[in-house]
Amino acid sequence: MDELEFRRRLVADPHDEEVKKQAEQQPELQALVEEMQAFDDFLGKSLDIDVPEGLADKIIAKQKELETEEQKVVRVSWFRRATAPFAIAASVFFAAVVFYFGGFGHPVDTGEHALAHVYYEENALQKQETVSLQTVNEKLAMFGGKFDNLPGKVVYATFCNFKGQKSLHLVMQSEFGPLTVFVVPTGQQSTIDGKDSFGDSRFEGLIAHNGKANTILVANRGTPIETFQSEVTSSLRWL
Amino acid sequence: MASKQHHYESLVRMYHKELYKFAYWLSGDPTIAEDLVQETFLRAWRALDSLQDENAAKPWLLTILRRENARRFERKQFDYAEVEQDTLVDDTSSALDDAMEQTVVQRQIANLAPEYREPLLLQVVMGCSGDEIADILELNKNTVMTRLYRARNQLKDALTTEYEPIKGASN
Repeated sequence: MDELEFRRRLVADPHDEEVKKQAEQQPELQALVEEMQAFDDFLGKSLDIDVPEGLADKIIAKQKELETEEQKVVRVSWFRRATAPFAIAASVFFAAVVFYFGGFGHPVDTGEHALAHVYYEENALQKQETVSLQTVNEKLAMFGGKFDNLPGKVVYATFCNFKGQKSLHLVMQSEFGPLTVFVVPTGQQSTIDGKDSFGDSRFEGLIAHNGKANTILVANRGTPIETFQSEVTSSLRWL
Repeated sequence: MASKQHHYESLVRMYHKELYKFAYWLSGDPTIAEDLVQETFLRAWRALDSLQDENAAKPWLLTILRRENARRFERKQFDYAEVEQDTLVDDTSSALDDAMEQTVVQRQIANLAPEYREPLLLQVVMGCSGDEIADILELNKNTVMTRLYRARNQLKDALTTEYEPIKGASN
């Protein structure tokens, strides 16, 4: 290689084997190689900052914590099933509701389903104890998603079956009362039938279609649901 | 399961230091750097089964980290360049002259355009080869080598123009 090429390669990578070999044959180039290597060592030292103590342990602890959290979700649901047989009866009732809406040859309307679901877990709307954003995100992580922030205090976060699709059911307290959000990953079957808003005498709701999921928001009549819906969808990120 | 855990822990121990340093110089902020590394390894844990070839672990982790870093910019649109100036550390050198030179270099690295800074960090901090850098940054190798050449030249120039007056004044 000529001297120009030699210099370019040396500066780009002072440890380039071919460059080093050439310098061995041409001693006048050797000083240049040494100078660049010294500069590189110096660069390396300048960039060699201290790593926070115990970082590796912290990273591993975090992953274990997450792992336990995910196992706890499974354990609690089994516990509930074993100790609260009336929950089974309620499920049967819920199934009957779903059947009533969906059993006559046409698909269950998503809005109706969301409303039925909200009524079914109505006591969740009364909850006040905060669930951290981190806990929500750990659950959402199972779908590959993450919330940057949420427009209200989360008081309920659980996995639910939404028209046969595992989904995340959230309840937030806002100044307009409780807001329910379903994050339903778009699986292979289409669970959404294109209707964007729905409601009854008590609640109104909106469905937003987002690349990897549909977010369905249900709130008391009179709540600015458009604003909340756009806040929710814009803070939702996917891997 | 046990072997997955074992595999994960060995990856953490092997790469967390380099990744932290890389993240630090990428973001210019120790807190952000720690978050980036933490998030990178959590994602790595979830996707660990997709890592087939052990030799690919480093570029794989770097790809996750860079994606996390890009996500940060989607969220917050403000410029970190100002922050970098304030949070630079300089605690590795004993000799005053060395310390001064290192501070100058550290500041200059923060000032390098990202397209020059990133390949240089991958090379110097992460010990990546030209081919690996090209893969990670999705560039061809010639472009990478040109950027490395320019990055080092800029740093060298900065040292001679900025450092000399400092040295002169202290004499």
